[in-house]
Parts: sequence; C-alpha cells; structure tokens
Amino acid sequence: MTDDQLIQRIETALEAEQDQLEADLPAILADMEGQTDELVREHPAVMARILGRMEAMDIASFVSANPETADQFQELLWSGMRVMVERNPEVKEQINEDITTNFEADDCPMEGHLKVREEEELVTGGAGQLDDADITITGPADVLVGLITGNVDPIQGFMQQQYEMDGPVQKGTKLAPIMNSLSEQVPE
Amino acid sequence: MELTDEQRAFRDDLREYLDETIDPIVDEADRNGPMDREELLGYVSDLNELGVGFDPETAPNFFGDVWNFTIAAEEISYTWPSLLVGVMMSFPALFVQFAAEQTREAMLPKLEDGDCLAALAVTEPEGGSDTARPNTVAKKDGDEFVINGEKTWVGNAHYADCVLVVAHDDSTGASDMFMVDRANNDFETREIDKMGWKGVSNARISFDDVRVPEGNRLSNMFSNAIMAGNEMNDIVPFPESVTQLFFDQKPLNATFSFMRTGMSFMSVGIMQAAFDAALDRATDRETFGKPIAEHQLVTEQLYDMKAGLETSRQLSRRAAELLEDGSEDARLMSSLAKGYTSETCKDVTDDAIQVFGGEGLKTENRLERYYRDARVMTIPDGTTEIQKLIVGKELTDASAYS
Repeated sequence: MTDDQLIQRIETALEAEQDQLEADLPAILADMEGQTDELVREHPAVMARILGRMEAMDIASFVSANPETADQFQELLWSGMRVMVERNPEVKEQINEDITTNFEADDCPMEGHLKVREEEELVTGGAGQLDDADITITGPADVLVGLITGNVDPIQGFMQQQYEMDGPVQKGTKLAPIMNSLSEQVPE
Repeated sequence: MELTDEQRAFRDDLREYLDETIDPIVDEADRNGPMDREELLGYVSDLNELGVGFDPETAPNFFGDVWNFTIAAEEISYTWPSLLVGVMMSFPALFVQFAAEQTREAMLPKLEDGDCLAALAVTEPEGGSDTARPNTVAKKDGDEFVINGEKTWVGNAHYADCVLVVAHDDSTGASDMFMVDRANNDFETREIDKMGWKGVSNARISFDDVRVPEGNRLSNMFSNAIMAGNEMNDIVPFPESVTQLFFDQKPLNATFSFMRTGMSFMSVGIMQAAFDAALDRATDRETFGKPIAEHQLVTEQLYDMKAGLETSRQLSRRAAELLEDGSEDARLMSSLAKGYTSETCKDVTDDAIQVFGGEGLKTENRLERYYRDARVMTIPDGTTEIQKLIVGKELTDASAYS
C-alpha cells in the first residue's frame, strides 16, 4: 500500500462512527508500523485527528482487547512527539536536563517510556520500560495518553491525583514543562 | 536529638516573648473569646520578628525547618494554643503569590505588609473532613469556577482575607482546592462557640455562587508556578524532604503529615504546661501537715503524667525526624503521634486537675483551660479514629476505611 493509499484509508476510517473506527484501528496501526515518523512529518493534521479520536476512546478497554496494538499506538504517539521536538525550538528550549521516565498503565497492559536528552535536545519514547528510569508515572491509560497529547496537564493531573509519580521531585518538576510544551504542539 | 545553637536561640527568644507578652494577658484574652483581626495581626507581627510566620520572607525558614516549626508548635501551645492555631491556619495566604491576577492585586500587598490572614476550609457539615469526596462543588463557567457549598470549623474564617476551599472540581471529577479572596468574592460566615481553643475564631462558611478565576484553582497555581520556572519548594516552603513526599505519598497526604506532626507537638506543649502546674502544686500545697507530693497517690499521678508527656514528646520527635528524612514511614508516624499524643494530652490535663483538687475546677485557674484545649486536640486534622485507620493502612496495606 502506498502512503497516499494509506492516508486515504485512514481518512475514510476517521469519518466512521467510533465503534467502526475502533474495529478498523488495529489494522491501520499495523499498516503504519515502521513508517510513522514519515507519516507524521508529511501528514501532521491526519495524525492529530487519529490521536484526537483515540482520546475519545476507552483506551484501557481498547488495549485490553487489542494488546498487540498498544505498542503500535505508542509508536504513533512517540513518533509524533519526536517530530514535534525536531521542528519546535520552543520545546527544545525546555530541555535542560537528561530525564528518563517509565509509564505504566494500572488498568491495562500498556507500558512505555520517555527519554529526554539534553545534549542532543531530543525527546524520544516508545513501548516497553527502561531499566533504572529516573521517574515512573503510573495511572489509568487514558490519563497517560492525555499527558502526552495535552488532554491532561501534568502538574494539575498530579495535584488532583489523577496519576502517581515516583522519583526525585526535582526531575519531575523539570519534566512537566517539557511535556506541557510538547502537548501544546499537537495540532488541533 | 540535640537542638543546634540556632534552634536553641530561636526557642529561647520565642519563650521570652511568650513569657513576657502573652502569659500576662492569656487568661483574660482566652476568656473573652476569639481574638479579633487586629489582635491576631498584632501577634502575627510580633511572631514574624521572631521567625514564626507565613509571609514570603519568614515562611521559608520557618516551615522549611521541621525543628523550628515543631519548636514553635510546642512553645506557643505551652502558653496559648489558640494563638498557634490562629497563626498556623493562615498558611494558605502563601499561595496568594501564585493566584490569578485579581487575587494577587488585591492580596499580595497585604501579604507583603503582614496584613493578610487566611483560612483552610476542609470540613463540611455533612460528611466531615472527607477531602476525597467533598460536597462543595466548583463548576467551570468560562474562565471561572463557580463554588457552592458549606464548610464548617474553619479556623480564622471570620476575619480571613482569603480562604483555600476544598471542593469537587466538576470539570475533572477530582477533588481540588480553590482560593477565594474576600476583596473580589465575599462570603458569609457564622461564628461557632466551642469548649476549647476559645481564643481563636472558628466559623461556618456558606459559598453561594461564589466565582473565582480558574487561576485560583490550586492545581493551576502549581502548574503556572512551575511553568514559570519555580521549583516545588518555591511554592510550598516545606523542607525538600517533605516536598519529595508529595511525590512518594501524594501532596495532600504529605501536607497532613506535616500538620499532624505540628499538632502532636501542640499536645506536648499543653501537657508540659499542665504538668509544670501540677508539679508546682504538688510541692507547694500541704495537706495533713505535709506537701501533697509526699502522698504516694499524688506521686503516682505525677509519674503517670510525666510518662505520658515524655513518651508523647519522643514520639513527636520521631515523627519529625522521619519528616526531615523524607521517610516512607512519615505518614504512619505522624498519624500515630497525633493520635497518641492528643489522647494522652486529655489524660495528662485531667490528672493535673486531680492534683489541684477543687482549685483545678475554678475558671480563674488555668487547669480547666488546659483541659478544655486538650479535649479539642483529638478531633481536628483527623480524629483519633481516622489516625488509627491511617496507621492500619500503612502497616498492612489493607484499607479498613469503609
């Protein structure tokens, strides 16, 4: 399938009702695997629409029903983040420390990680956990996804106990502005 | 534990002020009921000079040093527990610095001049102090929250310039706190007459469609402050070990651990005052031709009081040490200390009256005030029953709350 065909297929799926989209999404995410960076770069608005529709889903139920899709979904999320950091000096300005973070959903089998690297001014992430991460964030899957897409403000969410954070408080307060500026870059 | 020279000097200065300024007026002041705003502001100003307070200049050294905080809790409570409550319950004034523009404009000059009094509104007429499920609701309306509900037992509410209110945030479904400043959004209060802590105001507050800017939601204040480059310790001037507990044990739990440790030392202060009075009485008062201290049953009472006082002091110090260390046991030990010392405080002040005999019942003596103030201690900041549930949960990881 060419990129254009894939984008056409995605756009068609995005027109569908939520139930139909949830049924189509595993296959779409599977087709996107390995080329998400390129798709995000060339079609940011379409990718943002996918994320927007996924925010309306019950992420925990979806991931529980489609466990293999959790990694592909995270791949899309993190590709988006990588590209946004590459393109946005505002995000780079917030990076002044190395920070490693693990994410762990407490309502479905979804684990991910985030690396902030000062020297390269990079934010990268993906499925699975890092050894000895500075910070571990635990909470419902939709809150974790919301943290990345901007639906959940990292500090407000923490103060309202929507999720828990383990690790040095100083690292956590450095991570929050980076996540905030990342989520501000997600196209509406 | 040994106090440093600096901490000892802090305690000695505070003790001298309390002996010379507060002790001569405390009996009448307490008898006359809640001090008014001007009286409290006068004491706040005096205490600021000694390093006790909540203004931006004083707070980092006061709340930022666990031992200064606990020394003040014990020493002030030795002389006048109501004064400690009036000063401590104003700590939410600190957050004015990070509130929305209209609140900062109205309150920041007052805070910097030492004229801003505050209150923390947690308890509700229905449902007590269940901070996780308050009945008071904040509904989002444009750029504002509209607050409706009732709070009770709010220390300082009558004359506070601003109140930090625990409410259900309808926009997120979570519990949060909201700063209501009286210059922009006034509210009704009704004074509560009570048996102890009579020198400080406690009131019921009604919030009837009270509007506050969204920037006055506490979680927004933290978010805005951190986005502006502040560290957590710039916002809450606790020691770093305590702000680390914000992460390890949730922000509200860490704050309660700090407050309950202070309450525990408050009980120690009241007990020490009652014990000192009883000891003087036992050596001065004679019956059957000899000092009552020579009666074995009085000696036994002094023994019991001293044992209660010292075990309470050691337990309180242990709680403070764990806070200072940022230990995972800080929550357990602060609840254990608050629960144990407040109950022991009731017993010790009761024994002190017994040593005094009929004199202890007279309202012209202090023993009955110690007793009344001690009786209050087992209820605010979580009743003894709540402390037991917390300790049980910390010990077993099993919740017996419901």
